[in-house]
Amino acid sequence: MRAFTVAGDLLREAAARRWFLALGIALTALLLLLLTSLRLEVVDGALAASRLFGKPLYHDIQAADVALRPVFLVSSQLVFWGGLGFGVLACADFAPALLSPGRIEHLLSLPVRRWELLAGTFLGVLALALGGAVYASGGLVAVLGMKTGAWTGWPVVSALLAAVAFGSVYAGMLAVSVWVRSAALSAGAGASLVVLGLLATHRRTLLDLMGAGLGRTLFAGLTAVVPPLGRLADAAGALASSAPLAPGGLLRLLAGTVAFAAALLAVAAWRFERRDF
Amino acid sequence: MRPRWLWLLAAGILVIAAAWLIRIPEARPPVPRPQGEMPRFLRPAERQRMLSRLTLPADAGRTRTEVRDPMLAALSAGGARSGVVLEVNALRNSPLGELLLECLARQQGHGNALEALQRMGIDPLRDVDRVGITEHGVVVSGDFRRANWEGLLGTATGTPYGDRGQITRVDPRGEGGSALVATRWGDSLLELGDSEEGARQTLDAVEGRGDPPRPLLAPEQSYGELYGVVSGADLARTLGGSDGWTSALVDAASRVEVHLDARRDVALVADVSGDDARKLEDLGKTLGGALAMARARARAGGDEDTAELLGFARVSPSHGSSLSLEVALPLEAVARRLAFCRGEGDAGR
Repeated sequence: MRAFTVAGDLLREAAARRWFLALGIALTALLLLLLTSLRLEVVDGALAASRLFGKPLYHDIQAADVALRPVFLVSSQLVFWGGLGFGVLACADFAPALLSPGRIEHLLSLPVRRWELLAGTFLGVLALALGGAVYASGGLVAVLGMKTGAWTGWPVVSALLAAVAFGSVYAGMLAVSVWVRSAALSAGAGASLVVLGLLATHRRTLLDLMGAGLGRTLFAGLTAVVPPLGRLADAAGALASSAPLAPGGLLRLLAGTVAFAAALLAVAAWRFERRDF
Repeated sequence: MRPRWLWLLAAGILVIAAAWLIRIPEARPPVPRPQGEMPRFLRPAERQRMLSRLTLPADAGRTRTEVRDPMLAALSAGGARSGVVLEVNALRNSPLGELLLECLARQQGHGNALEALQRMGIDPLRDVDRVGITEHGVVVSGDFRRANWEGLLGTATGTPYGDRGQITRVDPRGEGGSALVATRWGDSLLELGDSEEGARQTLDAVEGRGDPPRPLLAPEQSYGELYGVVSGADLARTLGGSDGWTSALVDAASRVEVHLDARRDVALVADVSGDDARKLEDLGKTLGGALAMARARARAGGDEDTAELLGFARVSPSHGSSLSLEVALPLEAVARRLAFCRGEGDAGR
């Protein structure tokens, strides 16, 4: 429970930051722009004509939800990769700020366990990521739904995948910050995890291109545990665009990503418990 | 208070769980990695085999000190540039040989060459030790005491030459065929060539008369179940075609030494040497790139078997004037590839 209080504090701190204010304003402006300027009369007209004449007027038209699939696919990729990039940059200094001299001593004097401080920070950032992703994708669904009458909740589910992916990256950033209190290093760790996640996506192909040796063994070991972010992004895209998806595979992937994040948090907690302030 | 190491224990368990959960499930068991080492030198058994084959040529009036392997001497006669030796006896007793025999057994009853030879008193699976091929002809060594030469060559005896040699001219059996010259050396060596001059050169080389020919293969190179030396031009001719690959091969490689080990899994080493180190280096990089591309293409095309097999091939970078190509094939993979002729249900897969 105390971890949620810490998370709430972090959200209040985020609300006061210009980065997140700017993101909120930019997303809202983009959605308003789409709402007021998108010309979807072609889809609207085709639907109306079908209703009016009782049969399709043109045989080469598509249903609105089918026509919008590529839009949802692209937007899910924007939310996924854009969210990862923005999150790595914007959240890099939360943990270093938490550990800053003066503040950490104050926090440790409160009746909060050390691991609860870490968990609260992580949950706060995760809530930020979830909020941003759901706001962006939900807003797009709402705009397009109002314009075309085609409503779907899958883009929002796909945004949740993006938030889970960012959670695994932020866990690594948090663990690095506990060792070295540096926002730059934290951002570097996040960027490295994103790159490793991309490499892990194409692990087998890349391993085929490598000769046997220490480098290959290291690469194989690293990419065996880092979540393949590209596969998660593909799954998010498939969900958003209502493409076929093997549900068992996605659940395993999600569970593996959560386990990876939890492992990094456990390492961070181990280090945080040992550290003197 | 909770012990701190519990966090590390939890992290370890979670990492293992993550690796297990995110791994891409294999659609089928991976091809087992080939066992054994690449044929790079004479192993003890092969050294014994090599030493047992060396003979001291008996040249009347001269004291000879050099020893020679009659088969390798016969292959070197006439200045051959390329020659490959197949250790039939060793191959027959290997797992790969068993697979090949199964293939041959499936052909029984269709009038194959094996049966014909057996009727002539030569059982290729029992009496033949080695078969060597050069651009001048074929040399077969073994135990031919039971051979029906009259049935095979048309006459029981040929023109004597040297101490133990006999040369027989065999007329073509079909329209347009060319005459064949069969050279026997005792009951242990038979050469099939195309000229009597070549036959005499072979017997001179085997019996140690005159200047020894430039050796094509030294006895120390007789390791593996198949070994030999092929010139770049002959290799290009054998591979066929006149595309860029062929001309690049001829330009860069002047000689390729091949050794194949089939005692368990199949391992092939091809040492390519050339005069132009730069071209050889380019050839090595090109071959390595082609292998990588083929692997990626096979993987992209869903041909996992081929992709994994290509993973067992590698090109060692050239050191000066030579580079090395190593290919390993697990016996199971070879068995699968030979399934088509062994009559198994999953043939071709």
